[in-house]
Amino acid sequence: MRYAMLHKSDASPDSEAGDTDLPVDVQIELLALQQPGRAISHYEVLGLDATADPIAIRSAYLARSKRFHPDAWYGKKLAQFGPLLADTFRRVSEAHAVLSEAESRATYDASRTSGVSAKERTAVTARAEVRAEEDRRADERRRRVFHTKGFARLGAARKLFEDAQALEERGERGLALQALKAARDLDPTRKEIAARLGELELLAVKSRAQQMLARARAEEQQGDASAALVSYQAAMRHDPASVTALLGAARAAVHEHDFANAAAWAAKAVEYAPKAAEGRLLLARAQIGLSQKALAKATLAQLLAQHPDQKEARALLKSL
Amino acid sequence: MDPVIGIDLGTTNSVLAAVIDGVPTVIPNRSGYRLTPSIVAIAKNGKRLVGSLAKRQAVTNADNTVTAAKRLIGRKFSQGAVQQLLTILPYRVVAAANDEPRIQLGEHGFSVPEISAMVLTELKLDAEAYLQTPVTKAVVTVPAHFTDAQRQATRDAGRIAGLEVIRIINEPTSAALAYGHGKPQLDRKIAVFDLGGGTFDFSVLRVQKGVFEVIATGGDTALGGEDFDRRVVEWLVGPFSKEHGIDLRSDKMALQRLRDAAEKSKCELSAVKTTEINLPFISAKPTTGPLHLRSIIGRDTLEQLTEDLVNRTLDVCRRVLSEARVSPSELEDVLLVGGQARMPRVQEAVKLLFAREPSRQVHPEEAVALGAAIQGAALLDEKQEMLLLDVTPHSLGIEIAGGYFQKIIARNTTVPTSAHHLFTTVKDKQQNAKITVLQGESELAPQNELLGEFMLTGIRQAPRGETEIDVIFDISADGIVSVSALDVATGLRQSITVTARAGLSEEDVKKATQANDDWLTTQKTDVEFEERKYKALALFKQFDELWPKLTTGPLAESLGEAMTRLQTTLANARVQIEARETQALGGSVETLERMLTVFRGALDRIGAGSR
Repeated sequence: MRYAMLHKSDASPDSEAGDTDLPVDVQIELLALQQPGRAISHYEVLGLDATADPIAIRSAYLARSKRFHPDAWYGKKLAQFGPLLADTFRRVSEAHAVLSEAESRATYDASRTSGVSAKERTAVTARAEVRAEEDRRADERRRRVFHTKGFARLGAARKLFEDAQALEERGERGLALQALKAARDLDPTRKEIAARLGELELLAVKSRAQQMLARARAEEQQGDASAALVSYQAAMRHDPASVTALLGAARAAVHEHDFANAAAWAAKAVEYAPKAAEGRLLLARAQIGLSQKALAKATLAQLLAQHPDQKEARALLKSL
Repeated sequence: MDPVIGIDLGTTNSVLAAVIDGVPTVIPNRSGYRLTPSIVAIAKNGKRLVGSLAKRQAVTNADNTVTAAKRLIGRKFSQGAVQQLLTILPYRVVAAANDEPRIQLGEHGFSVPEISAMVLTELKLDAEAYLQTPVTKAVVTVPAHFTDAQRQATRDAGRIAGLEVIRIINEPTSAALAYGHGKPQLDRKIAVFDLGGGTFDFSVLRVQKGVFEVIATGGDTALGGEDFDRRVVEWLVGPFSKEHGIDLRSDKMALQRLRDAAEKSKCELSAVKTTEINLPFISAKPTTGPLHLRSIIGRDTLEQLTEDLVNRTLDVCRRVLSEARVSPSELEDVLLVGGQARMPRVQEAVKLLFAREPSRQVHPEEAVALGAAIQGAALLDEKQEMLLLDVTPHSLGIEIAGGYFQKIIARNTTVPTSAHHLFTTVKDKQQNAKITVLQGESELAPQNELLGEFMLTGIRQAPRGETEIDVIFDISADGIVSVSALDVATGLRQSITVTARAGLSEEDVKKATQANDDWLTTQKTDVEFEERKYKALALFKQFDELWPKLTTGPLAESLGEAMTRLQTTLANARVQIEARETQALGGSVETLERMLTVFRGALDRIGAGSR
């Protein structure tokens, strides 16, 4: 940082007026923008009036920057015009910053009260009207998309359906699901969409169930029966008809001496897969755990009728 | 028109350029290379070495070799960033008065600008050798996010090197100038992604009708190629220390070799998929004898090691784009600048972010220097239609009651610019007031960078609240801040006293400039002495060959006195060589040359006559 070490008498010899290389027309323009006691508008700084369009504002900014940026007169004797140039450039830059964006320009226009000609006022009002009209149209477009029952809506649904298919092929099932849901919301009558959505949802659920099963198996192998029980239950929630999940949950529950639940799940497993030995065996164990010896005997008898060589079942029956 | 050179003063390498006959040209150094390593060393014999000479001896002289001085320039010793650097720099940095970091080389301590000045002096000499004319003006580039203190220090370095730094410009902007030079019809929005050796910058510009307008800029002060190298070094050191129980980083020579190898392998991996790092005799153990380090590194390993660094650059890009209110699709070109931007992973990441192939229109290592040369020429050339509109990278403000930071000039404001702050007295008959000027974005003053403190003194005495002082902050086109103050009621300039200031004092700079001049003079004398000695030795040889003809035969008698003079001159010259009397030796060499011509002429005439 430089500090201007300024003293109360700071008129140095080279700041004498007139001793400058700056062309006279530039001098005049610079002085014209310095009118003490009168606020000079951003439009005046750029040499425009309030009717100027964005393109005119931009080109005035570029032209004036080239004229008033101190670099344009680098190495020239500027005398008292030096600070004036820097200040003028700053004002040009500020004017452009305000006027180049519709929003800040509107705010600025609204804040101007004095020194505005009738023509300018009309232009500002017209511009505000155009902006309002544009906003209204954009709003309407948005509303139309959400509320029309016309072809556009059906077209959008079809487009989304196609997108979903592409996404599915790329393996992006989650995104595909979202697209399909949006498509169904737009066009609930199209069976294709609803069917595909159903299939995909099922697939998604199944795959989640598979993940949970894999985790449960791993936990079971590690001997952590209580964690396995939680995971098997989760798998059951995703896919209530999964025999593997039911059997796993029953197995873990027996291990954890939660016989009531074990019996319920094992019974369900037997219901879904009547021929599998493990279901009945687990059911029998649960029943024994619940002291329902008669039921257990019946279960084991049924099991042995199907699988006469099941040694474990025979041993259990004998112990009863 | 005086020549003006453009200098890209980089963290690892520097590049020199000038506009020659209207064409921006990279000037090779006196060894013929276009890149000069930004490395300075004091050799064992006390000689100053700069560039590739310094780099070559870095392994054996790590203590006295300064690399990456740019990471220290314009910073305070106690700053976190500096403290962090100290743990990895092989050379010694101590704190001087004013909290200035000082680099210890041999017995001498140097300020950071002095070290940078050595590189600049070297480049100045290269430019003078190439252009065959004295060079005193330069445009020097700095990272866009450099603070006021860092810019000042860079300018001081230029002054010490005997260069008037007519403008400091931002590196990404400079690259954009090189891109848009000579294309007045160009009208587009572009972005510059500048990942150099030690710094990262990202700028969004609009180029239209020869006006290069920066819309927004941002960067990371401590992110560059050297960080990528360090990841590789760590990757090499880890397994080695596990195996042998030796941390190679504690051995400066080994560390320097590791760094060189890491940089080399990183560069190679831009072209090939795997490369070998082989450092035999890197260390030794009394039990097992010498130890070697040998490893194969793949591009994927390098990419994994540096993934977070690449992501940090992308975060900056996203932030700057949102500040510029420009979406990636509006950009019509993305320039990749800086050596590290050669890395395929970086290019890929940029390509993904902007959904377009980065531009290959500018040379990643030379564009910045070329742009600086273009700006220099444009400033001095009246007919030039080109204009650069850059922005200030940090908000400027003052500390207010409660330790809060009040912004006075927001970042990304086009420079030059100025702003006022009205200061009111809070006590009756208040005479003094302290104003603390800071740069940064935090709402808490202490978290921003202190530019300086100053006292408003001799305030007009009045009941509190009645005296209003207008404090004016100016930021020049170089991004350098100045402050002045005005009493509103009287319109009188208010005097300011500086109580804390960053960087070197005026006196320090003058002293360093003098020291550098002295060095240059000795250096020049050395070169002249060597030249004259060489000439004298050649003359001795020629006289030895003529000797039999001069001492025998018809000529011998007629020469008489001339022979005596010749013998004295020869003897004198030998003494002068011993005593390194450059001036006197010059006289002797001239006399000997004249005598040789005369004697040869005489011998020729006699030879012709006797035939």
